[in-house]
Amino acid sequence: MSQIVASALVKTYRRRVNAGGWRGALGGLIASQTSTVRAVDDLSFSIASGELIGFLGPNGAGKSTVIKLLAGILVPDGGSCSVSGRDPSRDRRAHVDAIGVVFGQRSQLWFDLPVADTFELLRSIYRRDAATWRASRDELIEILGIAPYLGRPVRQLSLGERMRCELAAALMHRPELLFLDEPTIGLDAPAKLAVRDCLQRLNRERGVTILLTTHDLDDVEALCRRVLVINHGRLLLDGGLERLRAGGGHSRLVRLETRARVEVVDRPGLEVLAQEAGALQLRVDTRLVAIAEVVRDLLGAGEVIDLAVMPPSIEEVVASLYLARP
Amino acid sequence: MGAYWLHCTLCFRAALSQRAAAVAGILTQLAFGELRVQVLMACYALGVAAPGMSRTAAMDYIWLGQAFLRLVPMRPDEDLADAMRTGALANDLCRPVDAYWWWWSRAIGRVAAPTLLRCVPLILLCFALGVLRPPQTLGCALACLDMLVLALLVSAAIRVALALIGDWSGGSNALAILGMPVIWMLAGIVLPLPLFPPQVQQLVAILPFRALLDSPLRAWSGDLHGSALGWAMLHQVVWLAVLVGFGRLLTRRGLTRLTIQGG
Repeated sequence: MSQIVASALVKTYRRRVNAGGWRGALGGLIASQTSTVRAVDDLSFSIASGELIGFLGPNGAGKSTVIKLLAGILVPDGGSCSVSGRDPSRDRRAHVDAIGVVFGQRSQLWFDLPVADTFELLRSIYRRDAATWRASRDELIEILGIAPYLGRPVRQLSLGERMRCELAAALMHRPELLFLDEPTIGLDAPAKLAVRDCLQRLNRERGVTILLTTHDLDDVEALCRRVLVINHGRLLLDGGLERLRAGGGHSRLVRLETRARVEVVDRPGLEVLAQEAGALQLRVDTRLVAIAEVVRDLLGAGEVIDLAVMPPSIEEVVASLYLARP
Repeated sequence: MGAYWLHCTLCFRAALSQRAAAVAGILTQLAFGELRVQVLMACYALGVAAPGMSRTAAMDYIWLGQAFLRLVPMRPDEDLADAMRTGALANDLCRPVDAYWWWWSRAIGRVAAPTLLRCVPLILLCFALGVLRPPQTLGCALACLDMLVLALLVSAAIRVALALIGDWSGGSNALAILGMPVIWMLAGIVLPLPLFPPQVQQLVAILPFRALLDSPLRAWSGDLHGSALGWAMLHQVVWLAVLVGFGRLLTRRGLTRLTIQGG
């Protein structure tokens, strides 16, 4: 059952073009030029209930815009989206009553007031019955370990402490669906793990559907079975984590340690990444040269202490995916 | 309803913590009040002032005007303007609340706190110095209180509307900067409105700004009574409805063409 369906979604922004400097500033007074940017360009995908999806793409790819479209904050310029049968932007209030949203880069908590006050305000917004609310609140306080921060004004919390509270604030009303826009940005390891652990439990125990935007691929590897990769508002890849890894299938890293410096035989598809004394790192494009040939060359070149052939890290795969197409 | 009320009181509480600003404000307003009183008294001494108001009534008006100065908008609603500029607006829209009521209730709390922090000490001080007379009757006091509450609601509605208009015109507060001195003038801060030339007074009576300060002040002194009091209150209520309606319209239009800045 598809919970989220986006079909041919389009969102365009008008951007003011300014040449900069005095000329641009004065010119803009007379005739301002605008250009249209398609932040989301004919994007279609569907997500089933209970999935935990990694939503990837370089900065400016349109991820946040998609999240805002799905959350009903922005109105699409073309195409349509449906979330649990609702049209998010037309039905905004009913829609956001059933979903949770966290924007990692901006706080939804009250800057000057204790966290507990924000929670109290949320209770009056969502109008859930007292018992359900209390249970949900206590559970989140325990999972996220935020009991010590409740009485402190938000401005006195560290980023990690605050982010846990943000997550709690987005989950208090037990949403069926959670949109997270870079929730782990800038967090230290324990905070990151706490956030991950919480998301995993929500997804497994309560079946909450989660769409997670992140640049932290460890998050993706730890949490997501499926990833959506977009760039320039278009879908680049939709599939399991394995498919993402397979995207780097024709590339291998070779690491070699020898007693003395070796001469690398120049072959097409071979790239020396680093070499100093007896240590050597190569990237091999297996479409152009067989890995066996490269290894044979290397073994014959000198006395080998250690040799390793590795697939590229997921980070490199993603980077090459981002850079690949215009 | 409950959520908006709580939002308003939380904003009020958050703004109550700005005590140092209140002390600075009180000192400033004492200085400006004294300056205005001196200028006006000089006019009375020379016989230049119009016959619309007695000397003591004018003095009351000026000191009360200083006490309730914060009811007059000094700039567009800062929270809303900031939220639109930085994109924090996205968070407001992620909650199942009516955006306009949400912003308006916040603006009310944000105006009420500094107003209260300044007016109570200033009025007590003026009583102690013998420069301000208490309300003529209990009826006057109650009417004044009602009108102050209405003035607060109008003030918040103007602030929100100015922020929304600012966004409309590309995030500039040019309109606010141009408009503020006019609003101050027409609310009665610079010169008591009864001292304006009669032709101008007719226009001033229609515009919304006297609802912010002039009307409640004249209710205090008993200058407004009987049907005039009723009309002044109706003027406040009508403008409140118009401003809220206008704000809601701008909000609805704005949300359909919204872009969130800053990613």
